[in-house]
Amino acid sequence: MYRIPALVLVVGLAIVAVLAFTARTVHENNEDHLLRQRVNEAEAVLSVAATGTQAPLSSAAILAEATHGDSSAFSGLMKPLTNGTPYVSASLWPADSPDPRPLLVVGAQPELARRSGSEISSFLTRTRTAQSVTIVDLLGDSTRRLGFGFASGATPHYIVYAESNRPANRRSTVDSNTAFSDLDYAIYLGSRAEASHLLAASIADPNFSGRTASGSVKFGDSKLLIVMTPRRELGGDLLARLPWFIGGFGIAISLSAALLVDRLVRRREHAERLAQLNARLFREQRSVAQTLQQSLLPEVLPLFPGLELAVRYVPGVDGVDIGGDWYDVVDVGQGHVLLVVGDVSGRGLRAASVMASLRYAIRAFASQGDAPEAILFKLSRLIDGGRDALFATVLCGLVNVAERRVTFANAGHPNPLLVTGATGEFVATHVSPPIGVAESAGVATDVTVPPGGVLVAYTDGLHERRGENPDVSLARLRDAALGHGTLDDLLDGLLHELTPDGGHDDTAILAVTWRP
Amino acid sequence: MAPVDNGATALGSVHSDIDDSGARVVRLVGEIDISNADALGRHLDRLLAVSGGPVVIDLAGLDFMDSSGIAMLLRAVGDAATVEIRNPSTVVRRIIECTGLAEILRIS
Repeated sequence: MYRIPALVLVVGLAIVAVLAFTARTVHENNEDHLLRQRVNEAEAVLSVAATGTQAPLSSAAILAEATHGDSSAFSGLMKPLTNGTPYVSASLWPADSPDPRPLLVVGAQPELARRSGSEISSFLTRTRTAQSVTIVDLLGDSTRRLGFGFASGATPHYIVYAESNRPANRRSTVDSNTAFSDLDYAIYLGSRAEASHLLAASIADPNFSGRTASGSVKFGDSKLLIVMTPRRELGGDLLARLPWFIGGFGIAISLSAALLVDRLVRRREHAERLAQLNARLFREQRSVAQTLQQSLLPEVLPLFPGLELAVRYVPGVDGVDIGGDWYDVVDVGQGHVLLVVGDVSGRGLRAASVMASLRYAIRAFASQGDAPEAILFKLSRLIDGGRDALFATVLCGLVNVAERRVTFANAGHPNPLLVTGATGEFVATHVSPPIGVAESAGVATDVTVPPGGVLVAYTDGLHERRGENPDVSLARLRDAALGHGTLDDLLDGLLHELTPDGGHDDTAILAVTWRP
Repeated sequence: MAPVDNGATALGSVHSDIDDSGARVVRLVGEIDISNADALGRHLDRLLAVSGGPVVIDLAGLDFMDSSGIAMLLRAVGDAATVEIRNPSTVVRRIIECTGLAEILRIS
């Protein structure tokens, strides 16, 4: 019952999930891309800054070579640069000396001088051939300095060396209106993000998690590593919240759709239940009407010595209404039996109730000893078809059992069939107008039944076919009645051959024969 | 006068016309059974009610009728003393004869 609404909900939520995931992926990619752009910009800025830091050393090295290490010239150039910005110490060293000591010191004593001789020699050798600024990492010392060395020309005689302070927890705040205001960053010397090599950062403890991106720029003969992380969504809040919007609205719409479908399904089921109920009521109604009809027909036929009787009643397949067909067998005493077959025009309870009236009226007249023609005459005066033109065809046959004779009176009914051996012929009764139309003429017709002969009375549902001449229909009925054994075989055979699909109209058949 | 075609059902229909002698001629066409007898009968009743003079019911175009059709004709004949039924096909004539109604319906 809940399968279709549940399916709608699941499909809706699946679509929502895909959309939200897509929006989130777009957002993530966008953020990554924007961060990457910021890192690229930062790399460019750092490159310029690094070059600026090296520029004074280059001038000093050229000056030293040109003045053959003139101390006053070197001091004059470097003095203003060693008051902390950019350097705290500047010194001039011999480019190639077995005892590497500074020739001249401006500002603070260089930390490099405290290092071992081999370490110093290694640095000087490196600087002499580097053709660029060499970097000495002294950040591990208590003074946290960074050393820069430079030598000018292919065969330098002097090496210029300077140190700058890099105090611990150095923080550079970023103005809120710059391109980096949305970001936190950390800059390390070398290519590894280790706290011991941290040069600068925007926050005290730059241990970034989440979305980060890093870039590297050349810094003398070393490198600078910059790591960045966004403080907020770089692409704006809307894109960041889009997946949530999609999720919220999508779930709401999916739930609404599921509820709507649920209502539709319930309505349809309601309609189906009503239809089933109606169908059941229809069957019950038809069943009730048939029960009434059957109850008006004798359940058990009276037994008469020497006489054999068989009857059939088949309701028509068309429509719910019952018909007005009936048969009856009445013991009128003194060796006489009255056989009746009738058909009230129209259908429904009215036809059935008229049929009941006729049936009991006939029984009443018969019990008074009336002959068949007298019964029909009385009946025709009793029943008035009136405005509805309801009328009934009735065939009455009074059987004289001992004399094998039947006296028929007929009010508009099909003639009975007499089957004898391999031949059959219709008893030519005098046909009066049907009961309810006019007074019955009251003319009787006698027929004597030869040994083995069978009389068959029936209603028009057995033989009548739309558009067919009644003579053709009756001839088919006569042919179908030949060649049967018992009465039951005969009646079953007639029904089987003439109404194989159940019959359009109600059908009643009564057959009588004498026991051998 | 133009013919009036009314009361047509899937199977049969009722047509009304005035003949040269001034009598109303009602033609029953097709088939009449329990499915359409009520509708056709109501229309026939109306035609008979508006017609003051003699009426002829022409059955030439009627292929078949069952007891419902017979009931319809019986009612028509009973209502108007001056109704005449004519030209039944062999099939329809036999249906009427088998029911013992040839005299009642005054078939000419």
